[in-house]
Amino acid sequence: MPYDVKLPDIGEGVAEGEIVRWLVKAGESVREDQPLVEVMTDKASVEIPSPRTGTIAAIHVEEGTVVPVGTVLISIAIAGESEAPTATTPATAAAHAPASASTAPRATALATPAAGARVQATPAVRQLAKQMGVALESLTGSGPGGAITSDDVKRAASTGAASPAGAPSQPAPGAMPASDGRETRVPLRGLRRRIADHMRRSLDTAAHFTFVAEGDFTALAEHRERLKSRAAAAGIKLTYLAYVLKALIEPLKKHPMLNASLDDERGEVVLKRHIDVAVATHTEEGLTVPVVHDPEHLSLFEVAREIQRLSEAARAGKLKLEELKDATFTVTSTGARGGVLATPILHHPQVGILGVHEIKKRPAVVDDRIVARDLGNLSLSLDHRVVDGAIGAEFLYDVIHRLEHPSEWLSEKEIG
Amino acid sequence: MSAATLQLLDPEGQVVGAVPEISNADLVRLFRHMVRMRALDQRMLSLQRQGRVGFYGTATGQEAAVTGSAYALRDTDWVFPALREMGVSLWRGTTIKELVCQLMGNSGDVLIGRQMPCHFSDRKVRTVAWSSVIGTQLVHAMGAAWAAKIRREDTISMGYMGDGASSAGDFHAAANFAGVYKLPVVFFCQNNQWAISVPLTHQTASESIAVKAVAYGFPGVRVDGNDILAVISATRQAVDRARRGEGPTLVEAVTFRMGGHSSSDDPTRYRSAEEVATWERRDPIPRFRSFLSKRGLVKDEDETRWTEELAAEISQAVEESEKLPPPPLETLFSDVYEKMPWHLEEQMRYALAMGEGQKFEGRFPL
Repeated sequence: MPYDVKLPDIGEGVAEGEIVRWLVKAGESVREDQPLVEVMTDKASVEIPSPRTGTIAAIHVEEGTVVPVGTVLISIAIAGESEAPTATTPATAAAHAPASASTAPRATALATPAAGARVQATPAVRQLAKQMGVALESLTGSGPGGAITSDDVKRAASTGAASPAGAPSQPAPGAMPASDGRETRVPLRGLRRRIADHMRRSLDTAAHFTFVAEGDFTALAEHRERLKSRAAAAGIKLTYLAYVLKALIEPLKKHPMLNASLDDERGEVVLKRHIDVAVATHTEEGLTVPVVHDPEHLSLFEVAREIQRLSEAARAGKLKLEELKDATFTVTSTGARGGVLATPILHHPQVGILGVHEIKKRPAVVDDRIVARDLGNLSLSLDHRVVDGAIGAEFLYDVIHRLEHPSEWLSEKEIG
Repeated sequence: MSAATLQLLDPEGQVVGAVPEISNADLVRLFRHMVRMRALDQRMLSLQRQGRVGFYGTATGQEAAVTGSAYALRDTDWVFPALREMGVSLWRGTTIKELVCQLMGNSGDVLIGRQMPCHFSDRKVRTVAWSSVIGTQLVHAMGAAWAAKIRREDTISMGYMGDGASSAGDFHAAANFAGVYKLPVVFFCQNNQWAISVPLTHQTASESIAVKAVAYGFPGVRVDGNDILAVISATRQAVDRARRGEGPTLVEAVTFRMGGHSSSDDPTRYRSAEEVATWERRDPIPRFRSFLSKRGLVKDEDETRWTEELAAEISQAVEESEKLPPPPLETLFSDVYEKMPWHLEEQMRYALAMGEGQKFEGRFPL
C-alpha cells in the first residue's frame, strides 16, 4: 500500500496551499525527512519533507495548483512492503494509525457528514431544539461541517417539519436525553441521584431483614372515626400514621437497640436518647423523609398536624435542613393504597424502619367465628447486625398491641 | 557588540576573558547538549512540515543562552520558561520522548495534551506551566521567589523572557516588586533581536534591555548570548546573588533567532539575508567547538558519533511516541475541581458514550 502524503496544516489554521515546485519525480527513491515539495501558503513558503522512506509511486497535484489542507499530494511506495494491501500487517497498521489520523482531520472535517453520522449541534442549539420540540436527527445542518444551527431549528419549528413524533428514529448514541421510540434515557440527577446513592449505601451496609405481623385495628378505626370530626374542626386530617407515631414511643424506649444507629467506622452501636421519627413522604421529585421531632411531647393531633405540615412542605420543596435531620427511626406508609406488606429499606444509618399497610375490613376469626374486622399488616425492617429477630418481634407486637387498644394509653390530654 | 557586553570567547573561540570554573566533563556535556538541542529542533521542524506535529518553535542559534543559563541553576530551583526554553527542561532531565509526546499531545504527554505544542513544562524538573501571553511567567517567577523567601528556602526562580516581553506590563510589575522586596529571582532575557516580526529597534529606545533594571534598583548585565562561557559566568553571579538574599538581577543574553518565530512564521518576509548571514558567523556551536577542540576535549569523531546517536535517539522517540494513543477522553474533565461536580460527570459520560473513535478526528463532536 503506497503511503499517501497529504498537505498538512503547516501554519496555525492554514486552509490551503499552492504547490510551487516539486523536488522529486515519480519513480525516484526518497528518504524520510528529504524535502518533497515547496508549498506556499498565506503564512509561509515551506518545503515539505517526506514522512516515509520509499519510492515515489505517484504525484497527484501539478505545480501552480492551489489545494486545500488534507489533499493527497503524493504517494510513496514504502520499501519492503508489497503493493498488495494484505501485506500490511495489523501491527504496522496499528502503529501508523495515530500518525495518519493526525493528518486526516482536516479532510474529514471538510467533507459533508456521511449518512448516519451523529448529529452535530452546540449545547445551546440542542436546548433550543428541546424547547421547541424539534428532533435534531431529522434536520440537515447548514452550519460548518454540517452542524445544525439555531436558525435551522427555528425554521423547522415554524414549518412543523420535524416534530419528535414524526421524526425518523435515528439512534443518536450518547446524545442528550432523548427518546428514540424504543427507550428514553433520563439522567440520574438531583434528588433521584441522592435517593439512589442512599438506598445503595443502606443495602450495601446493613444486614436487612423484614418481619411482618398482622393486627386487628377495629378499635383503632372506631377511635379514629370518633375523633375525625373534632380533628377536622381544628383543620387536621387524622391519619393512622399519627397513631402509629404515638404508639411507637413506649416500645422504642423499651427496646433502645431499635432507636439507634451503627457507627461502622468505630464499630459502635449509638443508642439515641431522643426519639425523632422520620416519615417517608412521596413528592413529584421523589422520596423525601422529613422528621417529626420529639413526638413524645406532642399530642396525637399535634403529630397529625405536623405530619400534614411536613408533607405539604416536602411537596412544595420547602423543607428546611433541620426538618430533614436527626431522625432516630423511620415510618413509611403509602396511605390508603398501602398494600399487604413490603420490605422497607433502612434509612441509613438507622437500624429500624416500620412499614404501615392498608387497614381494611377483612375476614377474621373471633371466638371461633368468622367476622369482618379492620385488619392490617405492619412490616418491620431491621439491621440484623444490631437487632435480632426475637427483639424485633417483641417490639412489633408491642406496637400492634398499643394500636389495637388506643384507649388504654391515649389519655384525653394526649389526644390534643 | 557594545563594550558593556560580557564576552569570554570571541566568535572564533579565542579566550578573551576569565573562563569560569567548569570541569572538563561538564564542558563536554554542555557542548553535547547544544548539539542535541539543534538536532532535535531540525527534526521536529521537519515533522511539523510533514503534519506529524502541529506546531514548533526552534531555538536554533540560541543554544548557548539556553544551555548556559540552565547550567547555573540547581535542580531545586524553579524555572518559569517561555517559548524557547524546552532545552532547559531537557538539560534538567526531561527526555526527548517526553518532549515529542508533548508536541503530539498524546497519552505520553506530561501535560496530557492540554497545552499548545512546544509550550512545554514539566513538574518533575520544576519547570512551571506558562501561557502564550507575553511576560505572564515573570510575575509567577517573582511570586515563587517571594514564597521561597517567606518560607526561608534557598531556592531561586529563573524567569525567562524575550526582548518582546520587556515591553509587557508584567515584566515591569515583576521587576519592580522583585526589586522592592529583594526577591531571589533572576530575569533571563534572551534578546534574539526579533519579537516575531518586530525588530529590537522598534521594541525599545533604551540602549539595551539590561539597562531597564536600573530603574527597579537592581543590576542588569548584558552578555554575549552566543558565548556559553559568558552566559554561565553572568548567570552564576546572578543566581548566587539571589541565593545570598541580595535580590534580583536582569541578565540580557544578546543572541539571534536563526529560524522563524515558529513553524507558522516566514522570517524572509521581514528581515534581510545579510542580517542572518552576519549572525551565522556568530553561531554559538562552532565557537564553543573551537574552544573545546583547542583544549583537546572534543574531537571531530566525537561529534560524528553524537550526531548518529542523537539521530537514532530522536527517531526512536518519534517512533515510540507515534504509537501512543491520545490522552484518555476523561482527562478533558479531570483536574478542574477537586471532586468532579455532577454536571461535569454527566458531560463526561456523554462524551465517553460518543465513542473513542471520535477523538482521533481532533474535533469534539458537539
